[in-house]
Amino acid sequence: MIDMQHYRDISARVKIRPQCREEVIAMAMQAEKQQHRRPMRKLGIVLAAAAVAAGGMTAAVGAANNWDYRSIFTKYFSEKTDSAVEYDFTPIGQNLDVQGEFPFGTVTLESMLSTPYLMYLSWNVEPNEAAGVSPDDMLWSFITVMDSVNCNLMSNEASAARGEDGKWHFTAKFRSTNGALEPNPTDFYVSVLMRYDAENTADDAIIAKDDTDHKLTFTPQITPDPAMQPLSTPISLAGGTADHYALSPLALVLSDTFGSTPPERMFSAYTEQADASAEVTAVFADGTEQVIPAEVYRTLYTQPKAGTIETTDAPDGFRCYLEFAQPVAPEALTAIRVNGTEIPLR
Amino acid sequence: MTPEQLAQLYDKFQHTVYRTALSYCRNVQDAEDITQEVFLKRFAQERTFPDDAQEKAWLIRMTVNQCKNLLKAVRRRSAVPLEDADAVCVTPEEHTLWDAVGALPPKYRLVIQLYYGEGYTVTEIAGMTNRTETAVQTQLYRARKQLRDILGEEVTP
Repeated sequence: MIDMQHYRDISARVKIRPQCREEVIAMAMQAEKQQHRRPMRKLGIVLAAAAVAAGGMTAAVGAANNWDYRSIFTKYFSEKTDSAVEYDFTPIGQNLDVQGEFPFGTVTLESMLSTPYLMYLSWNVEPNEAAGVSPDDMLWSFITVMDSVNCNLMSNEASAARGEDGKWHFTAKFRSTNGALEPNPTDFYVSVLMRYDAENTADDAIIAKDDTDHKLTFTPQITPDPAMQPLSTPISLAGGTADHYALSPLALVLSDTFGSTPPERMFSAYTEQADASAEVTAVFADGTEQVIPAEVYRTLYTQPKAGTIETTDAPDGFRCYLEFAQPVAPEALTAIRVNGTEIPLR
Repeated sequence: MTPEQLAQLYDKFQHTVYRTALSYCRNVQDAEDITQEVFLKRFAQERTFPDDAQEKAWLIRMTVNQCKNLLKAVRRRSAVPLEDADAVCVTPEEHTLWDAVGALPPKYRLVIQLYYGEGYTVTEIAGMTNRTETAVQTQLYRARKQLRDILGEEVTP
């Protein structure tokens, strides 16, 4: 019979090299110095709350939080389109500091670009390593933006990058599927779904955990789109003929008359990618032109009709959203062309 | 936490963390790296623990997680440098026992280390490793059985 007390005796003699102690303390002191150079996180949170209440102060908040919507989205769009971004995002940008502690880690919403129909959101996830969630194991983070009063915003793509801070940083575009956001939406929240590898099972297989979604509720500021204007020349696109337009930094909206001012009560307002393409060209004041790659999405509107079976087969109106691959500044343009038809803006 | 507080904490628990890491990864360099990383993670945390026992349990839990992560990374690059800590064994019997424990799978080495090496109860180990008490008891049973097969003798419970 082997006495396992021997094992305890052996184990008690196992000691770590003394040099390791000095190395750890030196690294801790170095980390502390770097920490002192950074602005305090709690201060950032307080400023963020104040800025949301006051409005228009968000740029200062971003500086306090080590992020800024300009740098985040300049990088995002540059990488997406592989070209320089000149737009400064101020009219539609907003820094956030909305944080939630969840079992898998801490989610922080950093900043957003927002219009009633399109939204870009950046967030980071700090894995809860004490709970066994390793930064190496993060699979993906998925956020659904919900405004229970008006609409849902969905995304099926998010760019992800591991930062030097050890956190995972995500940026994604969200598109309304069934309506538009109000300027200050109530009951607005994002729903976070996280997948990660966390546990070695008895067979050493890796399993993914935490498929539940978690909510972060806050009140964003949504920059309204400009009012619809009549088109001098109608444009046929995606199965309809548009006679109105509105140009925002993120998209050109084309609609028929019904879609330009859809009634509040609607049987159906559903947005989907259109089987259509559009060549969009921006014309600048100095006469230069630039082709802007754009995706075409379409909303079909159907309103309730008395005495009939409600169906979406015969929509009452439509809108097309030509979503720009890079934002543009409408005030810098004199005209915009869609498939060769020019829309004068001045 | 200040660096001075970290030094005190390190002095108190360094060997426990190191032994736990060594038992799992069986590599002196990796165990040292994990030990340093665990204390630096503790340094970065702002939380406090009501007593040393809970502090120690947190450190061990973090150590186990770091070890698992390391082993997963090692598996990915298919290179497992092996070293041991033979110098701690005094008698031939100790060498035999140390080598036999080292031949067990990592999860069994860990439970042997925590139970026999650190003196934790099954309940405490279950809490640290996010497993049920039954699972820990099963692992202990299987670890002893494998040791018996390797050594040709029963081991004390």
